[in-house]
Amino acid sequence: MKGGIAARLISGISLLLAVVVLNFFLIQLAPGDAVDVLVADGGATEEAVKRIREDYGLDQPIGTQLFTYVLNILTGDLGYSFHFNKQVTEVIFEALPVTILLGLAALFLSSILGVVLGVAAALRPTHLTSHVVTLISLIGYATPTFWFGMMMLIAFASWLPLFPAYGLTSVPPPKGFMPYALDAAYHLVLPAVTLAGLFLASISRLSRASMLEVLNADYIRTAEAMGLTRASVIYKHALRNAAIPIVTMIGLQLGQLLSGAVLVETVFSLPGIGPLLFESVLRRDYPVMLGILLMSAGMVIFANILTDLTYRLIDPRIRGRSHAR
Amino acid sequence: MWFSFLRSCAHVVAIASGLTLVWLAPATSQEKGGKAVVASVKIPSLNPLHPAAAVGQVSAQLYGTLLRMDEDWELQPNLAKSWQVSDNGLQLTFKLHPKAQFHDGSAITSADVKWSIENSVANHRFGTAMFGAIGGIETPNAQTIVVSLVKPSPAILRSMTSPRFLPILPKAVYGDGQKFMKHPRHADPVGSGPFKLSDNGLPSYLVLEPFEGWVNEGPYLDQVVFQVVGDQSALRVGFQRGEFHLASGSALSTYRDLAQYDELDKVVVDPCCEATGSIFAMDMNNRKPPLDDARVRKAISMAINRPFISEKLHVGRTFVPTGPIVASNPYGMSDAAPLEYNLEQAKALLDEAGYPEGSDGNRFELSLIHLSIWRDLHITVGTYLVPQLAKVGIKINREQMPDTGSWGKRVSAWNYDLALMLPGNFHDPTVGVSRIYVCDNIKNRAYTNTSGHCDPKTDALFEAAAIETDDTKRKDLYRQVGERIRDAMPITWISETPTQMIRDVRLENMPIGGWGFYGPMDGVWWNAGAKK
Repeated sequence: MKGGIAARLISGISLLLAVVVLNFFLIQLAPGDAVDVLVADGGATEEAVKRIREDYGLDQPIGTQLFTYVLNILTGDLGYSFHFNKQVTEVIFEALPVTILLGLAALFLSSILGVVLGVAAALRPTHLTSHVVTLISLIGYATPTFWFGMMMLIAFASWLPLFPAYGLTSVPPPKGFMPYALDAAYHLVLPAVTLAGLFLASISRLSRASMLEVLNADYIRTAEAMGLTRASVIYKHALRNAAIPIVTMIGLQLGQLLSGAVLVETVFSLPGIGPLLFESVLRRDYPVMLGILLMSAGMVIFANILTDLTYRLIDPRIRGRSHAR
Repeated sequence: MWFSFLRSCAHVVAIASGLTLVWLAPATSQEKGGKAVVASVKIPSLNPLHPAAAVGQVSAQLYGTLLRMDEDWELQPNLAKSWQVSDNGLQLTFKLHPKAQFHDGSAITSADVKWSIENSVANHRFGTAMFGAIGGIETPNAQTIVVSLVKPSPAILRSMTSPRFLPILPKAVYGDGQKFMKHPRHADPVGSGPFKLSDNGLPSYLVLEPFEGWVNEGPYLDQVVFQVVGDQSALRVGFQRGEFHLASGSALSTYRDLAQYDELDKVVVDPCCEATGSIFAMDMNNRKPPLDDARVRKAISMAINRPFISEKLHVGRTFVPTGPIVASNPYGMSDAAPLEYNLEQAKALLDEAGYPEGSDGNRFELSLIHLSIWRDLHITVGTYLVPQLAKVGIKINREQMPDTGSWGKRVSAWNYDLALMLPGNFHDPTVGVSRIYVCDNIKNRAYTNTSGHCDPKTDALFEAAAIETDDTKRKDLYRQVGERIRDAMPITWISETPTQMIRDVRLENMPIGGWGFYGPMDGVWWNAGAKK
């Protein structure tokens, strides 16, 4: 098993390096650069433009820029942000905890609720519950996240002013860990529910389908024939076997989580990675864009490795296969 | 008779009581206290020379200036308690307020001012345009600054009224040899303005509190909070719930969105901040046919229905321009006739220029590039222009650029026929207007003279106006400039687009004209009883 993890890690790191180089060239392909944006409101003299290019190293040949960039990344330096006037790592690490917090809250909410709804629908596939779950899933799947977010905001921050409409905390934030955590949780309710809506649909649909398939399997009939209790059959035998595709799906959601966060964080004015990415794209702030792309690629690769490890925990057959190798 | 007498007595008593009540009632005056929450788009930095408008709003509170400009564009003392211009206009002498100090308690000296001017010249993108006439700076004592000019520059004093252009900074902190634009103290700034930083919660919020050492009356507010908001719905809800008191309506909302604020009890939307002089225009590449012919350019200008754009597309929130300088600027042509809309005359001009209508109804094709942001301006007007110019037989191939960088690259390479743009006039034509028209600024860079039009007579007028110290003569020179440019029409102006200020009416004495909310809020006070 250790060999398998090492191989996954090595391939993950190689993939990450390839992502760095590819992203760098992709961004260079776009017309215009950060200086075009910085001086876009005009008036800058030629000397000023030249000085800005020199300051940010944009006067160097592309090859030199790439070499310096990769070298700096290996030392943990993601560069300097043209727009935010500070180190990229600082800019990203200010925003990352907000996105992780929102993502985890949304993923937790959608996973629990999605599996519960999916299992409930699978147990009585012809019952009204199943149809309602299917309908909710379809609506959830078809609804654009930003629109759902705006509706949540209008409904629960404007018509029924129960929740805050913007920000991660009150201003100034409460002092002390618990009051701060509670304040942040209160501010996260609407954004987390909105983002969870994005995953809830797919997780509940998949849970339903996966459970239906497993419930029709021979070993489930055998377990029932052996006189095991209904709860034992469902939770010990059926759900455990149905969980593999669900775990895969949850792992794969991480990439989608970032794209969903761009919209949700913007609607609810959360200072996370989403608005940061949007702003850096608009401002052609390459170092920040590259930093975020690198970080998100790293997160997706990490999530895939984590999903692999979770399979091994859930399914003894995979563990066995790994030993056999 | 007795009844009349009693009635007269009653009147006298009533009037006397009324007068007594009026005398006893406190006059509405500036009171201390209260909090103003400013909803802002992302504030990327606290570096006062950062070009983002959101930074400008914060800088106006954190950083002081030598002089200030009131809502009538008149200069007023600020950190400099007095100033003097020599008779020949070549020497400016400033006397600092003896109590002027930075937020760390250190005194503001002439050495700090000298360093601050040199810093703006070196690091501001308009540095040379604003302060290029400075030949030397003397500091005979700690409170006196003598600025020598190589030529008169009447614009220079107004350039000293906004911390977006010339913030007064402590040399001891920022003049330590590190690059100013990357200075680490921008995260924890030492300012000189009416408010000081109390809590830097960026990227979410900023809390400012009054600076006790401020040299002028005020500040009256106990606290100014900048809350970063990224969405129009959240902005609207914030105002509805009374949580926001001030915002730029131009950053997140469309002109139609702004109508929603009229429904709120305590909120108004005003056009503001005229010193930024925002004017929406269409650049025309004068180098290639048919745009090298002034008759064609005039025909295009004449085919644009500006009142329709302002009244219908922009729901009355923009104004029809009269020339290259916005009418609210002291040098604008406020009394000139608006640009004419006449389709028949436009067609006649095109015929005269040798571009008759073809069998398909088209005379020629032109490319039009515009941005995909500022929906009311670039997208709406860009879309409008396609069928509108087709009415005179001009086929427009519209290209929407994904971002400012792509747009800037095309404009810089002169690779377009028509390009929509939003140049700011700013506080003086020498800063924001001449750059678009003069011959020596034909550059491969956006917001220079990218049209390529060159008229030495216009240049001479701009030059004469830039150094004219008599304000009446200066206005006349800029009027001649305006008329000459209107006649040649190297670019055309579509609408004057002032910033829209969303404001809670209880924020009394909020500056609207001049720099508007890009100016200090030291005179603003909270009047709980104010009504719309």
